[in-house]
Amino acid sequence: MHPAIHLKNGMNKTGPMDPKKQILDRIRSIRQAPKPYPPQAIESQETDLVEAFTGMVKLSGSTLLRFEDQQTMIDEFVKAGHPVNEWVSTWDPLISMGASEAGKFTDARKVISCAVLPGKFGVAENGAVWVPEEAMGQRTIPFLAEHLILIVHAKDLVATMHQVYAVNQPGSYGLFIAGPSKTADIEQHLVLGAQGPLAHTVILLG
Amino acid sequence: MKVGLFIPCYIDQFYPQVGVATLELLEHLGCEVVYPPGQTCCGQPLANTGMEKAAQPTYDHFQEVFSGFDHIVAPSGSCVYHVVHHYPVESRPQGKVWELCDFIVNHLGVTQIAASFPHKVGLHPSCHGLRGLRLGPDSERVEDRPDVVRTLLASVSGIELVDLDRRDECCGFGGTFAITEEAVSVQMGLDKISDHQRHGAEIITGTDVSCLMHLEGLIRRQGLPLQTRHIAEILNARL
Amino acid sequence: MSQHPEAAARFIADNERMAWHDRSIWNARKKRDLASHSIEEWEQLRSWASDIKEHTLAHLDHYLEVFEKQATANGVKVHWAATAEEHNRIVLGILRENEARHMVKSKSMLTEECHLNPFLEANGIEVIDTDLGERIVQLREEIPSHIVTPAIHLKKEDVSKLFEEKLHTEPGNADPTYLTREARKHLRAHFLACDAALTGVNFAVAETGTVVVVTNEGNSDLGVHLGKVQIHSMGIEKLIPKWQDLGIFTRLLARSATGQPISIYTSHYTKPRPDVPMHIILVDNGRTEQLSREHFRKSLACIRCGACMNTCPIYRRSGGHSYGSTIPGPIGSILTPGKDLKKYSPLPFASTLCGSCSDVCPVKIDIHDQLYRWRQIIAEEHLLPKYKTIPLGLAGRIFARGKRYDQAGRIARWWLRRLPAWMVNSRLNAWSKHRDLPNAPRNSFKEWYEQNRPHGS
Repeated sequence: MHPAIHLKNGMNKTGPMDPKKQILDRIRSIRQAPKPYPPQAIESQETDLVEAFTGMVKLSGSTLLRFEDQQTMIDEFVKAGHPVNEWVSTWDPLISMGASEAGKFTDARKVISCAVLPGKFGVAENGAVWVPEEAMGQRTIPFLAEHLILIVHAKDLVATMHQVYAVNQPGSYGLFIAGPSKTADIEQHLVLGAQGPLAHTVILLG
Repeated sequence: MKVGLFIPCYIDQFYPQVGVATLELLEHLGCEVVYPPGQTCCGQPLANTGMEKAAQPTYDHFQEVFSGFDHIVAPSGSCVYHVVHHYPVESRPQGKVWELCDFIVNHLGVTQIAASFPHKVGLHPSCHGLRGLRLGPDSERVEDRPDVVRTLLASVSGIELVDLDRRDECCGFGGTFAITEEAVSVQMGLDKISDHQRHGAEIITGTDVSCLMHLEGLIRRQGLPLQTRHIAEILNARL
Repeated sequence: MSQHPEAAARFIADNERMAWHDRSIWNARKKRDLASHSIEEWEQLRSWASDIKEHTLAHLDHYLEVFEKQATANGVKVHWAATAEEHNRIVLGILRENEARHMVKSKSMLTEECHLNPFLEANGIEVIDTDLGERIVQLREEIPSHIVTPAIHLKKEDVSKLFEEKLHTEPGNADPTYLTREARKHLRAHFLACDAALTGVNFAVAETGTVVVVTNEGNSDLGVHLGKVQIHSMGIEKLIPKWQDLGIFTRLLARSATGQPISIYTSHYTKPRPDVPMHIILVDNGRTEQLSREHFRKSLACIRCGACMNTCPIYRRSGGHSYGSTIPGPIGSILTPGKDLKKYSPLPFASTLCGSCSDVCPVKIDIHDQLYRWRQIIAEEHLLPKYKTIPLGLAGRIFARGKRYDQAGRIARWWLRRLPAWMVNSRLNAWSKHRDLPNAPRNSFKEWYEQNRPHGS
């Protein structure tokens, strides 16, 4: 019943056995009927993307702000007394207003009060935003910032995860972010701000 | 239509009134019912303990006793599930084996029963009927499926069906589980009963006497103001 | 030998705590119901996920090779480990090669299964589990009691006491937000000081060589991006063929696990950072053996959402530790017997076969049918206790003959009617400890029938 036991140390009579060969050989020795890859036809759903996305973002404990366009956002939000020079960003308009370039941030010990990053796609069914590596400057930024702001264009909203995986690319690294870091590991009490950002804002443009 | 009546062993021995109600109900609905006398048990207690091989003679006996019937009906979802799901294909009887409510609704096409039962009733949908035979929609899956048990109960005059907090959680009987995992089994049963009590049920009913026997045992030991009735007894409570 | 009934009875003896455990996990089940019932095509997604997993398992050799090729092309070093020991030695080798002594680790049931922590610690490596729940059980020197919420068995007061002792938090302060913030400070210091990070893997995409890790806390990424070397340990069954398949699995996973529409972070690691080595370890450790068992193969489709634990009425009332296995609950009870049938033979019996686990499972593993199958094998291997085999063997002989059965029934009922109540409902027999036996009627149904329908119907 346990043939594996004899090979426990990856050794056989002739010496050390290549574990890759061992694993693949074992799989190939098992008789299995071929199973076809299932056909899938995922229909795009008729939903109001903005309404659904907005609702899901708020549900995750995040703030959602919506502006007509980039200029309105700068005028009404950025210029409303925010300490832009303490921010970190990869977004040129903010860098030109005094935010630090995320790519040049070197000391992980230094507190980042706020990072503002452009997201590439927003997913209406769950409020997640796809952030590729290029948008981060460096991979630590979305996690070290105490407040993370992601900017998404309304035209980049898709209905479901099926649609987003049809257009996003693996790149080197990328992730979906769907709210502030959270945990419910202590007696199932939801606590926002577990290890990453304490607060999360999504700015929807258009 | 000739129907072979299968009365599971624990009903035969301990709850004959459930067998009588099933027989009378089917006769009332116009069936010609025959009870083959040599019948014993479906073998589930053995097989669920892992002793399928020791159960094989019981399977063979079942097949022999019920040969020659196009339809075999039993007042138990669990025993029927065992025969149709766990018997080796070659040991299954030729005819179709039905749980009672399933037979009434899906074979006889009857959804209204002229019965009267003016009580507050909680339904315990036993797991093998619900998730095994799919007699209704369970709370786990996302599907629209008619609920044969509820349909029949709801047609009974004067009955008031109560809602539960956990409508289809297992009662904890589980055959030999009731003995080998006594502590969990009892706790599950007590929790089930208090759900029914909280919602004002006077009677707990269901398709399986096995679950009800477990709940009744707890109710009686605790002296609770609740009773159990097999669904056949309610459907046979004539106007 | 794992003794689930005894451990469960001890858990239930603290009745108030058991009821709290049951309620709080039932809440997760309710959230899962809300989330899944909001998706019309839920059952279709389950079918696709199940089919994709079955397809992958049927062609696992192919997809493993494709994955290795892609990941290697991405600049990742891929390792193969046939056993837990090999896996642990590979990890240690990578750490030594990179002169790493402080490793942070995000959630990985595989490394629990391999007992990686004690091995590394014995070799002078400091290992810090960074998922809050895992850190809590690590500080308590326990194993996780649940695969998604490892410290679900603990109350906030327990955590408060633990943190007071280990992290010097305010005595008596059991506020979850306060405790979480203190853990954050404590863990942040470890992230900043770490020189290596290891994660588990939720999905590995063959066609792109990507590994996907899902967390709510962000702890996987903090470690991976701050360490000098990143290691991802995965069972070989984590593979899926295509990037697009992630659409199906990410829709199912969090909804099944916690009822969230998606976890906070779904991270896709494909290529390493410049000058930071990235390693992926493909681990067998019994998986090919499970693959060879036709009836149990499908258990390898598990995506570790924990929904079967949350729904299991036995798990909720007996606690994860009662199973005595790395993975508790229904899925653990079909995976673990394959590791040591004798030791884990009580686990397939820690179920009423109610089938709820199979119906919540997002990849449609027929868990309760596999529990039933394991029971048959346990009996065949003569691992059933005599108190089961002797009476049931006798019953089997009685049930096979109508006359024998009628006679036995008559005798039993005759005694039950005559024995004094205290003896019938003796607390010495397990049925009657808390339950009355049914009243024994004078006549069986069969006898009634013979009297009332003398010529058949």
